[in-house]
Amino acid sequence: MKDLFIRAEGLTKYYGNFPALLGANFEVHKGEIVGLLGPNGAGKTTLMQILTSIILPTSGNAWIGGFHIIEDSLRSRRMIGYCSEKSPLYLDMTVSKYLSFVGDLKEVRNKKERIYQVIDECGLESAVGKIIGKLSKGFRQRVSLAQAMLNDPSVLILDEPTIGLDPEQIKDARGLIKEFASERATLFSTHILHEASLLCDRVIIMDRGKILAIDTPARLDSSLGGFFCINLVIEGPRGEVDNRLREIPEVAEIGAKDHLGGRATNFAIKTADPDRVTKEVTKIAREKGWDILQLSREQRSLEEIFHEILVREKEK
Amino acid sequence: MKFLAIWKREVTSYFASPIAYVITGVFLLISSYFFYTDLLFFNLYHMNQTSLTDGLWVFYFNDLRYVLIIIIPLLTMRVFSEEKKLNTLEMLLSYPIRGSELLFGKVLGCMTFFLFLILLTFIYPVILSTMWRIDVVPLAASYLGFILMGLLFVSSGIFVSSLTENQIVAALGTYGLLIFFWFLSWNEAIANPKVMKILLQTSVFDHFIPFARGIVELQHVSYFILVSAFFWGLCLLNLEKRRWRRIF
Repeated sequence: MKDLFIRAEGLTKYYGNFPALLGANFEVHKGEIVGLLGPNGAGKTTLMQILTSIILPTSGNAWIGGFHIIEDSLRSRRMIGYCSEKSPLYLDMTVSKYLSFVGDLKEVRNKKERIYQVIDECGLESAVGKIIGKLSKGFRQRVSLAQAMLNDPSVLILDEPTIGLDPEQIKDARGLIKEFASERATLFSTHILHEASLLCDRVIIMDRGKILAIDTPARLDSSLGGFFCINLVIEGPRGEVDNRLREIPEVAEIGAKDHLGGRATNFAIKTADPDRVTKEVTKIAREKGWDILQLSREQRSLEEIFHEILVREKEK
Repeated sequence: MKFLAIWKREVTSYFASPIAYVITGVFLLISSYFFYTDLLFFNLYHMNQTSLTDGLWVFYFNDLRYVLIIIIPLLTMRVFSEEKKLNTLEMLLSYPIRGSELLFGKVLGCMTFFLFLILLTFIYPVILSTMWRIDVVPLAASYLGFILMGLLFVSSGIFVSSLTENQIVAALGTYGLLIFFWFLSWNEAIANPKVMKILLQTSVFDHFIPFARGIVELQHVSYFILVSAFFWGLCLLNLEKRRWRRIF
């Protein structure tokens, strides 16, 4: 429990009669990066605003670093570094003055040293004396990340941290998030599923205020069940291999194409039981003396998992 | 002492903004015009009959009230509405800072600029002192009343600013509120005497009149502080309505 940095129990938020968040339960531990995924209106920002004490939940509880977000709000906010989706900054201030201002509000010890450290970590050396309003979107995002990091937070909450950035800036921002994640719990929302699969240890999939799934992408893939695809590249008589594969009862569908100019064949095997099929294929190849060049289970992309979870939820 | 960081940010922001210089120019223009006309009036009618306090300063400070009605909404319109529009209020609320620290930093920032404007009017008594003997105590009382009235106007303007993210709406709303304060005791000719008594008790300008005459009374000082505190309370409630937080 020592490393449990974010704990949410039944967080619910209604705006009038509209349910923005319904009974969110989850935990995030030290060193973990957890991605919040969901379409617009899923409740991601609402959840983040509740955790940062910007808004009050209608019901439920949450603790940041062991401090209750309502009863011990000041202390819980001391543990947080928050980066809002719109990167709200005072455009008339210079980067250094802005960070100094935030440092005062966050009660940062050894403020000057810490500001230099964060400027260095966020690659802001060339922007220090510049007016924020004159910086590029990428640099503003860095400034936003720097203000979040200023108090060396145990919990980093980032709302769409890479939105509106160009590919190079996105790469830089992801690098920074990875770098900062080791000693803290990081919760970040994104629309880019590829980004979540690159950065996250676990994902939380949300829709219409509800958490639909929480797990690693691989475990979510397994838990969804259904059909999996096995990719087999094998050297052997194509017709015979095809016949033997179709004899395996667990195989649902087979597709074949030439591989390496016809010397080998690439089979795509659709099955509900990939472990069983893998064992059978290995056994047959050994008996027949066929060479297996590749045998891999294709994992569904996070996009496919995400869409399947959403579709299943809608079908309920 | 986090309110000091907010105060510093507010003051820097005022002096970095062109609107502050326009406000200063307008204030100096109108206040100097009032001073000039009131001094002429004093020279023509009162010079040999009454003191500077009764013949000049009371008229001058009563005229300056109208300048306050013009400039305070322009000073306060951006205080919270700009923060709301830029979403920086969201960031401030995520920091470990109490709503009261945020509010008092803002009020203090606004009052600092207001005091700067008042400081500029010191030139008039300084010039006069080369020709007349200035009675400092009643003059200081008038300035104290003016500052307290400014505090009330600033507090009401900041409250209105916390209601909207549109600066124009905030300014117009504050104009409406201040003009209401001004008109509150105007209908004395038709009002019931009992109603009039209550209206006079609540009228901002009527509480200022003794100060303009150089008299400081606790009930009037308390009135300005209590009404200002009333607007601080409303502002805090409005800021905190989206969430629970320890206000004080």
